Amino acid sequence: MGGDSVLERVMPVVLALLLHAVVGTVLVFRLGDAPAPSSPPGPQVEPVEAVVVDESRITEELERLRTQDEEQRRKDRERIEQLEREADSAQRRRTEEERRLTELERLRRERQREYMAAERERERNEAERLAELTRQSAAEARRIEALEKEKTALATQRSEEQQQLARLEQQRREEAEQKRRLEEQARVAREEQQRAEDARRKAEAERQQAEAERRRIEAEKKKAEAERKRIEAEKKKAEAERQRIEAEKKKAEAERQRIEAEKKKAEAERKRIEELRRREAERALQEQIALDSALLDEERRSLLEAGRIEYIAQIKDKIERNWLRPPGTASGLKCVVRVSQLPGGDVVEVDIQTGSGNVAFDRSVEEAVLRSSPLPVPKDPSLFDRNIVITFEPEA
Amino acid sequence: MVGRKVIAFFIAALLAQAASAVIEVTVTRSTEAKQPIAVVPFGWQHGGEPQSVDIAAIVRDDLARTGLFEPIPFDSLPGRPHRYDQINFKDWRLLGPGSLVIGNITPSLTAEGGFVVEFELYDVLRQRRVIGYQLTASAQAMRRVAHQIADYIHEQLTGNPGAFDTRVAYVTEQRGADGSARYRLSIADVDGHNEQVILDSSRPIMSPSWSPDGTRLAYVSFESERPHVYMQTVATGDRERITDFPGINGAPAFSPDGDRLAMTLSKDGNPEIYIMDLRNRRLRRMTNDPAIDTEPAWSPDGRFLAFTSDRGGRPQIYRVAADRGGQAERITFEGSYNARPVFSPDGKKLALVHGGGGRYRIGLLDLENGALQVLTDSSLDESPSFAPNGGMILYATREGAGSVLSAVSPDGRMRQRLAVRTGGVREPAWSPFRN
Repeated sequence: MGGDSVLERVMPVVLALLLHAVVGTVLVFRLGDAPAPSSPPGPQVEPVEAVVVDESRITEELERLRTQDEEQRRKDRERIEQLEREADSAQRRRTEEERRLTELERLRRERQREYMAAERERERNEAERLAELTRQSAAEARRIEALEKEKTALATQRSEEQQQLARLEQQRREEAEQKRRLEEQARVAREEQQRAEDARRKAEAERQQAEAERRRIEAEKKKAEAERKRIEAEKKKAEAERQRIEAEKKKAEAERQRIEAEKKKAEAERKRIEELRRREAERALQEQIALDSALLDEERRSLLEAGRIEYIAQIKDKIERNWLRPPGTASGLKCVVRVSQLPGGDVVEVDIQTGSGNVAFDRSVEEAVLRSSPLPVPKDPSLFDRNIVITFEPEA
Repeated sequence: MVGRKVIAFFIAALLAQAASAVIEVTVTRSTEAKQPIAVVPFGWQHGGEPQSVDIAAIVRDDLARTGLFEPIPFDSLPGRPHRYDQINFKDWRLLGPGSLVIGNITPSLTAEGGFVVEFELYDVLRQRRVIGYQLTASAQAMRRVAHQIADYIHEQLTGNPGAFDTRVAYVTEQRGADGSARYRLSIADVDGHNEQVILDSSRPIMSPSWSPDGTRLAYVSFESERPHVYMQTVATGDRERITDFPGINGAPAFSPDGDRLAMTLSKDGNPEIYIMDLRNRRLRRMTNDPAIDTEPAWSPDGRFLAFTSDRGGRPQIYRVAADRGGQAERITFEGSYNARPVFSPDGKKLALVHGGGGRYRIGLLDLENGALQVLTDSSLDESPSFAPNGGMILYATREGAGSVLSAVSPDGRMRQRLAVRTGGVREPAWSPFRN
C-alpha cells in the first residue's frame, strides 16, 4: 500500500478531530460561562466570529464520521491480523531452517570425530605392526646370519670335495692309461704267437705235400715202365698216333700264338689303365701337399689371433678394475669411446663416440679409461693399434 | 676334401678381415660406487678475520648428501692447494678422485663490503680446469654462496642442475607441558640451516604450497576455528585470507603460472576441486561427484589437475583437464589406496602415497606406461614433494612417536634423513629454484 492510501485513510479521522475541535471551540466561546483561562498580558486577541450551528446537524455529522471511523478501524485491524499471521508463519520457517543447519553442523563434526578416531586407531595399529615387523626382521637377520654361516661352511666343504674329485679324476686317468698300455703289449704278443703258429702249420703242410708227391712220383715211375712196355708194344700204333698228334700240335701252336697275341693286347690295356691311376694318385698327392701348407699358414694366424684375444682381455680387465659406475645408473646405458694411445700404452685422449645420454655415466667411462693409463701392451707388437674402440655396456 | 677346402678358405677370409679392424673391447663389469671427489678448504686471502662459514665444508656436505659423490675427508687430502700452480696432479691422481675443487675468499673492496668467493673445478686425470666462477655476497649470504657453488659443480658433473640453493617449508607441532599445542610454519635451507618461523599458531596449520616464483606460500590455517586458505609473502610476512566459505577450505596448490590457486572447497555440501583466479578471486568448479575430491596438483604444463577421489570406493588418483574440468580420468589402478599426488618437474611421473598391507609408502607412477614403483620401506609416509631438479622426493615419515623429513631418489635407491629439527615435522614442501 502506498503513502497516498495511508493519507486517504488517515484524512477522515484528522478531519473529524479538526471538526470536533472547531465545534468545541465554538461551543466554548458560545457558552462562554467559564472563566477565560488566565493568560499573561499580551497582544489583544482578535475575537472569533461565532456562528450558530444547528446541534442536530452536528450530531448527525458526528455520527456519520464515527461510523466511517469505526469501519476504517475494523479494516485496519483485519489487515494487521493478516500481517501478523504472515509474520508468524515466516518465523516458524526460520526456526525450522536453523534447526536443520544445526543438525548439518552436528553431522559434520561427527564425521570429523569419526575420521580422527579412525586415524588414531590406524596409527596405533601401525605402530604395533611396525614393532612386530622390527621383531620379525631381527629374527630374520639372525636366521640369515645362521644361513650365511652354513652357506660358507658348505662352500668350503664343496671346494674340498671338488679338489678331492679332481685328484680322483687324475688318478683314474693315470690308471686308464696304464691299463691301455698293458693291453697293447698283450695284443702285440698274441699276434706274434699267432704268426709263428701259422708259419709252423704252413711248413708241416708243405712237408706232407712233398712226401705225397714223392710217393706219387715213385708210383708213376713204375706205371711209366709198364707204360713204356705197353708203348713199345704199341709203337706202330703210336707212330700213327704221333703223326696225328703232330698235326694236332701244329694246330695247337697256331691257337697258342693267337692267344699270345690276345694276351699282349690285354697287357697293354692294363698298363694304360695303371698309368691313368698313377697320374690321378699323383695329382691327389699334390693337392694334399698344397692343403697341408695352407693349414700350416692358418696355424700361424691362429697363434696371432690368440695373442689378439689375450691383448683385448688384458685391456678389458684393467679398465673394468678401474670403472666406478655412478650409483643408480640404470642398466641399459651404453657408451662407446675411441681411445688414442702411445706405443707404451699411455692414453692420449678419450673421445665419446656414442654417449649414453647420462652425463655422470659417460664421465665415469672416461675416468675409467684415463685411470687405466698406461694400457697393457700386446706380446706381438704387430697387434698394437694407436686407436682402440671400447664399448661400455654394464651387464644387468 | 672339398668341405675342408671351403672351411680353410673361410677361416682365411675371416682372419684377413680381423687383421684390418681396429682393436675393439667391450667392457661389462664395473663397480657401482659414489664418485670420489676432493673439495679443498678454501684459501683466505689478504688478512683480516677469516670467514666463520666453512664454504668448502658446505659444498662437500651438499655433494655427499646426494649419494652420488664420495668427498675425501679434509684430513686425508694430500695437499691444500688454492691455485692451479699449487696442484700436484700426481698426488691427486694416486688418491683417486676424478675431480678437484679449490677456491679462495677475499674481502670485497666495494663500499657494500662482503666477500668475493672464487672457485675452480679441475679434471684431475686430464689435468685441466673444467669450470671456474667468482661470486660476491655479503657475510650473511656465505652459506647461500656455498650452496650455489655446489649447484654449479653438480650440474657440471651430472648434467642436471643442483637443488642445494633451495628451501623447504614445513609445519612443526610441539606440545607444551600443559598439553597445549603450538603449530609453526617454517622455512629452512635444504641442509636444515637458517630456519625461519613464518607463522606461529595454537591451531593447526596444513598444506603449505609455494608460488612458482618462490616469494609466497599458500597454506591452510585453523586459526579462526574453521580451516581457511591464507596466502603469505615470505619476505615481508604480509598475509591475507583467501577463502571464507562454509565447510572445508583446503589443499591449496599454485598453478605453474602463479595466477591461480587450485583448492578443495565443500561450500556446496561436498568436497570438490575448484580453481580460484587470484586476480579477480573468481571460482571455477572442476569436479562434481558425490564422493570426496581433494588434494589437487597441477601438471607442470598447467594442462591437468591430478587429485585424490574415493568415487570408486577407495581413494585413487584421477585427473581432469585444468581448462574445463568435467569428466575425470582415473590414472592409478594398482593397490587399494593411492593419494596425495604431485607431478615430477618433467611432468612424466607422479609421486604419491601408496597404501597397502597396512603401510603407507611413497610411490612413483610412470605416466607413460602406468607402472607404479614403491620407493620407500617405511610404515607411514606422507606429503611427497619433488626437488625442483627432480633429483629427490621429500616426504614426512613416522619415526618413533614423531615424524621426520626424509628424501628418496626417484629410483628408490638413495634415502636420507633431512637435518631439520626432529619431533613432529610434517607437510614438507620443497621450494622452486631461487632467482
